[in-house]
Amino acid sequence: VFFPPPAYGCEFCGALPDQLEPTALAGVGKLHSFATVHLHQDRSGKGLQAPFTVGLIVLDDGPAVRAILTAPTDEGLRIGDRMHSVLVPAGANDEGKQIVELRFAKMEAAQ
Amino acid sequence: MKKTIRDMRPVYVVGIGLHKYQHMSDTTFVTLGLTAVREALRDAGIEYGAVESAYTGTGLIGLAVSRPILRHLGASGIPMAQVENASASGSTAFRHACLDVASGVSDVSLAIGVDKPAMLSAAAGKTNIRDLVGARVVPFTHFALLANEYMNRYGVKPEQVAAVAVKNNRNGARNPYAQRQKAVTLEEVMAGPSISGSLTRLQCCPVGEGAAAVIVASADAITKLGIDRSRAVKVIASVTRTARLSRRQEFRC
Repeated sequence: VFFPPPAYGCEFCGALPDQLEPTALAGVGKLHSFATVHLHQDRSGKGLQAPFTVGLIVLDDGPAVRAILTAPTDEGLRIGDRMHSVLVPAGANDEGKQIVELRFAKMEAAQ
Repeated sequence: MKKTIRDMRPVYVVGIGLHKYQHMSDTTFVTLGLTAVREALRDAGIEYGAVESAYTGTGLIGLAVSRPILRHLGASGIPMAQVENASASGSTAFRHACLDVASGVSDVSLAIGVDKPAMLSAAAGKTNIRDLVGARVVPFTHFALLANEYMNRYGVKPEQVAAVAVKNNRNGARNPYAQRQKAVTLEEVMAGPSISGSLTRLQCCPVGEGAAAVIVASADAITKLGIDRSRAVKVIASVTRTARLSRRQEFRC
C-alpha cells in the first residue's frame, strides 16, 4: 500500500501500473516526526504562510505520509500522538472556487 | 565477479585545489573552476596536458560546464563529462575519475565540483505524482523532520545537535576556503532565528558559490610524471548508494 499512488509502477517489486489497484485509506495513524517551519517563501503570496507544522504520520494502513498539520505550531504535540485526516479550506482557485486540502490533526483523547 | 575500487588498479589522489566558498558574486563559474583546477595542478606538480579525462560535478550552472572552463588550460581533446547528482555531484564526479584510473582507461583523471546559486527545480517535482506537502517541504524541513525523529529515537537534545554547528563553524574559522569563517558559541547557534523544527540559521548551510578540484593518478603515472610519492593518498573506497525504498514508505506498523 502506497501513498501517493505510484502511477508508473510499484516501488517494492516493479509491478506494472495495470497490476496496481486503488485502495481507500482510513486517514488515521501515529505521528512519527514533526517540524514547525518558521521560514517559508511563497512566491504567489496566496499559499500557506509560516509558521506552519509538517508531520510525518505512519498510517494504520501502512504508508507513512508527510502532511501539513492543522495547528500552526507544535505546541502540545508529541511523537506517538494519534492523528486523523481532515479537510481544511485552503483559499480559492483562479475561478473563485473554494479549495480544500487534506491535513492532519491530533485526535482528542475520547477518540 | 563484482569488483570495488580496492580490487582494481590502485588509485592515488595526487593534487587538490579549491576556490573559496562565498556569497554569490560576479565571479564567473570559469574563474571558480579554473582557480581550483590550477591550484590542484600546482599541488600535484603536473601540467594540464597530462590529464586524460575530466568529470565536472555541478547542479545549477547549465549544460556542458567542463569545456568552457578547461579549454583555457589548452584544449587537449580529452573526454569530459558532466555529473549532476544533486548534493552528491562533486563526490560522484570524484568516484568516476577514480573508476577511470582504476579500470586502466586513464592514468590521470580530474574531478571538479563547481556551482553557483540558481533557481532550478528537482525532477522529482515534475513527475505528476503529487503528495500532500509539495514545495512546502524544502530541504531544511526534510532534515528538520529527520533530526526530530533522530532526537526522539536516541534521546538527543537540540543543544547536542546544535553542537555540531559549533564544531563545523570552528573548523570553518580555520579553513581559508570556508564560506563561514567565524567560530560561534552554542548560545549563538541556539539563539536563532529558527528556520525549521529545532534547526536555527547557523545549523543550515549557507547558499553560495565555490569550487574544488582533485587529480587522481595511477602508480604508473606517479612514476612517469615524477609526482612526489610521499604526498600521494591512496583511495580505498568511493561508493554511491541510493535508497532501496522511498523514505516515506519505510515504516511498517
